[in-house]
Amino acid sequence: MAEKIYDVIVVGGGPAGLAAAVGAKEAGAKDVLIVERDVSLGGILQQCIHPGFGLKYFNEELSGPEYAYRFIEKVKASDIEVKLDTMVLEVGDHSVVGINPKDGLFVAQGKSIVLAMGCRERTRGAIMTPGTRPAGVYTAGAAQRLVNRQNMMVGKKVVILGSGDIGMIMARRMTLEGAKVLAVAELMDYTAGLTRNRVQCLDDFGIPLLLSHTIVEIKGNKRVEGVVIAEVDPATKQPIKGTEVLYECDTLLLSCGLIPENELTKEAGIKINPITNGPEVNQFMQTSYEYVFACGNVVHVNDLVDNVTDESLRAGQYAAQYALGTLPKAKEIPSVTGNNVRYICPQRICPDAPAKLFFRAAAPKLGVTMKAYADDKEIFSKKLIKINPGEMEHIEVKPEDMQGVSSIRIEVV
Amino acid sequence: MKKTDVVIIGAGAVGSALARELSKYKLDVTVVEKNADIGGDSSKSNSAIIHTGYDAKPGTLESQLVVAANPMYDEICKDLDIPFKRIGAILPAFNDEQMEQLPAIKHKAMMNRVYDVEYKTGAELLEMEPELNPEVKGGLYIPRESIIDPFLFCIALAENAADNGVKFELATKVIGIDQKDGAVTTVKTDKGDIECKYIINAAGLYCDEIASFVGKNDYYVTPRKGQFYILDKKTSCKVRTIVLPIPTKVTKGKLMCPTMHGNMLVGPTAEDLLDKTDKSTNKEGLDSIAADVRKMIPNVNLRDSITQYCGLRAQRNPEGLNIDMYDDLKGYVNISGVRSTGLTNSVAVAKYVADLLIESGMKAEPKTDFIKTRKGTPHFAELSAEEKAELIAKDPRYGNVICRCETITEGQICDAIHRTLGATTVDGVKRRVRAGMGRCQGGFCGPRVIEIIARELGISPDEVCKNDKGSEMLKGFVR
Amino acid sequence: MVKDIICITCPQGCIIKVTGDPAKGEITGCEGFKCKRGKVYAENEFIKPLRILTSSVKTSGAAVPLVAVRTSAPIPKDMQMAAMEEVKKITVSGKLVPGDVIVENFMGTGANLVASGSLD
Repeated sequence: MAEKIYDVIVVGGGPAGLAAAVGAKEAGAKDVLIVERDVSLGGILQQCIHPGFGLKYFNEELSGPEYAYRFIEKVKASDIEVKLDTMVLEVGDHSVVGINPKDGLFVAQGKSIVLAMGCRERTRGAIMTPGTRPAGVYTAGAAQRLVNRQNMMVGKKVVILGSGDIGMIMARRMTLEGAKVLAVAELMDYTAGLTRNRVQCLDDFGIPLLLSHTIVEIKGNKRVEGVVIAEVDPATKQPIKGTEVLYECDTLLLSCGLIPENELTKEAGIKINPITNGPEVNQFMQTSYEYVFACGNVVHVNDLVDNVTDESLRAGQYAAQYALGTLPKAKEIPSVTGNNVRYICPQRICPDAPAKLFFRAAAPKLGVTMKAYADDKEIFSKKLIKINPGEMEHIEVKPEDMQGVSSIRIEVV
Repeated sequence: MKKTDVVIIGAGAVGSALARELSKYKLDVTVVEKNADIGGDSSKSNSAIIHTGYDAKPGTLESQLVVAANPMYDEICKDLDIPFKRIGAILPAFNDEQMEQLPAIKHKAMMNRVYDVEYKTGAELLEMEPELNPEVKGGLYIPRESIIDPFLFCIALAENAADNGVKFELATKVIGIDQKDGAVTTVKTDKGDIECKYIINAAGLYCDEIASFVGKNDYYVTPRKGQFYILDKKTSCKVRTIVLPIPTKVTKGKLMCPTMHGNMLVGPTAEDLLDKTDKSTNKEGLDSIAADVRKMIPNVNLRDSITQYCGLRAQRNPEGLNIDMYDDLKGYVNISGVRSTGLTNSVAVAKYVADLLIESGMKAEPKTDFIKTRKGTPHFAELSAEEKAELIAKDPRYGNVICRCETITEGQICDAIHRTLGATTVDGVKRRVRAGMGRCQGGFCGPRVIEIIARELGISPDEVCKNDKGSEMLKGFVR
Repeated sequence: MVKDIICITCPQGCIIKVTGDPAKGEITGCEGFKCKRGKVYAENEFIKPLRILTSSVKTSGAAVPLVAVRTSAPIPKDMQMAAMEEVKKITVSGKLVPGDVIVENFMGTGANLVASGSLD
């Protein structure tokens, strides 16, 4: 292949990658490449055929494919180059190594690289559910792909573990498509996903939500024959003996959390945050390698695609500026988690530019105040009726508040 | 009725090794296996270690065969193109009581003629294995303890046997054995009868049930469950050797070692059961592994587990490996008491049984055209850039990565399906080429693998099974 | 009739108590809301709850077996299962982009059944 040097190479063609490429193009990048492993652009949105996307960004309610379509059309209308059916095997020095049936193994050079690989689901192995290992145990997302894209029914009598959004959405999908969903069991004493999904996916169809419950055994040697659900002690999360109930079913779907997909990032030696499991970034979405940017669920798992789009447009824009040599370089200060804050993203802040600090609470609480401090000086305070780890919050910090300080701290009290 | 010279019952490690051994002779051999794929039960769920036999009970048939088998593996694995590594084992002692046990263990190794066992100081062991509990006082080093891919081992033996003319009747259950005039005549299966001169019972966990068909069940087999964790290749705490605990009176204990593919394996438990179909893991068992292994490797990170599994060792009562022929039942060979050393000694058992049959008068003329080697599916991820490019140029399907965790391509999956005794199931693909063996456990590639199997075998996707019939992955179509 | 409605207009999830007779479209009381949007949502949800229905329909002669569909506007909540029976009968072919109408005035709801995915 000719030694073309792209301004921006985007790894992943899902919502984050699409927006990053569009953002880069709009910010003046000339040659932009998207590398996508699936046969079409859009990533996970293509299987998210349910509504609820775009309320924030487009001010209207779209399905996943509709949301993706708007960005795919923008990409098609531009001269952004797209390699589909292509797996990136390695992120190297200003380059990515990819593979596909047409080009074989190739190296693409880029002045800046945007990581937009999204996330994957926690598996049965990761959550260590005991029992047998029959067919019929799927992550909710894998089941969603089979049902919504491949026309394959994963089961008829279903139990769902975990009240993540995909799990609840699959509870509704399976019901609409003719299966019986017996229950959704959730280890915590609150739902992991959005209230809206609890109402429209579970309550609408009378699907029982069992909070503070978990699956203690999977039964069946060939196909799933049942699962044993037990109540857990809310404090220790340990199953309570004597509360076990057998649910006879043929399918178990797991919606037990998402993990940013950072194998390439780790392999490249980019610094990973142990809490988010994603690369540490500054407000320009710049990782510990200054030419590598990251956005979307690969950085931290978002609740809304609208937020991903917003963040990724910016990441693309800054990646373009970096490629064009116009991104300022400055000394950075850390963002620090205070009381009841699990993580803050970005982890590093350039004090000379405004920064939107996204964060999640560690535990749900009513009647709280979220506060930001520059060293010990309070620079932001806002009362909230309720805070919930399932819903991301943010605070905007201005450059004038950050001059000469050594860190910015956020706390929820 | 089908006719054959020899029927081997069971396609686990022993049955597959026997099939290959007998395929060296001008014999008509048929293997009957109840499961849908090669690999048996215990042979596919174990610690994947090729033992030296250093700790076997001296003077027993089991010790002789294990000790004899270990040196055979370099050549067999090279011939069959399967991965095998002599990584060595260490046996660290953390207190005086354990230190005092070492001489007896070493002496036993000498009795078993495993002469290369060495003492190591605590400092030496820590240098070999930095993750060891720093309180280690000293221990033993057993250099020839090795690791293998247990799935590929059985599959490769069987494939090579099939390439040399052995027939495999899979998903076929033996339901009886006929005898006449003090000799076996027929194996009865749920798919029809097979007339034969010789029957070798290599049914492992179920060998007592097979033996009962001919009244030779003067023993019984109970399962001893072993539960394991497999940890992510990128887990924070890894070992380089097989780290074995000093055995107690009750148990050989729980170990930690790398797998052939760079994961960490931690376990097993030892729980005596009655139900041979109980292949379920449980919290108590898994928790006990954590507690025990932390004594040796304090930082072992079981939260990095990508899967847990359990295997059933065939515990013979009374115990001990027995290989028997009978004066009153000509043509019948009974193999019983194959347990945790079975993966290792399978190749020696095969030679021992072949010799026993020939000694007993079986006509077995060596073939001159025996195909000794087998070429495995290319390990795409391990190839050089040039080799990868070449392979994709030849077959573009090698450019389509299906399993991203293990970088397994469509080309490899298709090869696994279409080769001799190819994969017909999701587990079959997984065991041959590792699609779905990685950290996402098939979350990403699972739906694609189902499509590829259906397409390549010309079946409907809803007929694709995880393994045996009844384990269909799907329940029909949405529309 | 009294009904507790969990408000979904924002993440707060207020529980709003609505009293009245939904069959007559009559509301006699509404309390527990903390904003105007919440009140409107709860009252609508009490009298006539509406949902956008999404699913997929079979394709013929296409590279993919299914294409995503939706109702162009929300339809009555209690019609969802009956609507699914209609969706199951449909097969589409040819080129489709999001928004293309598949069934006009779907089941008399006033909403169209439209493509939500694309078909090349």
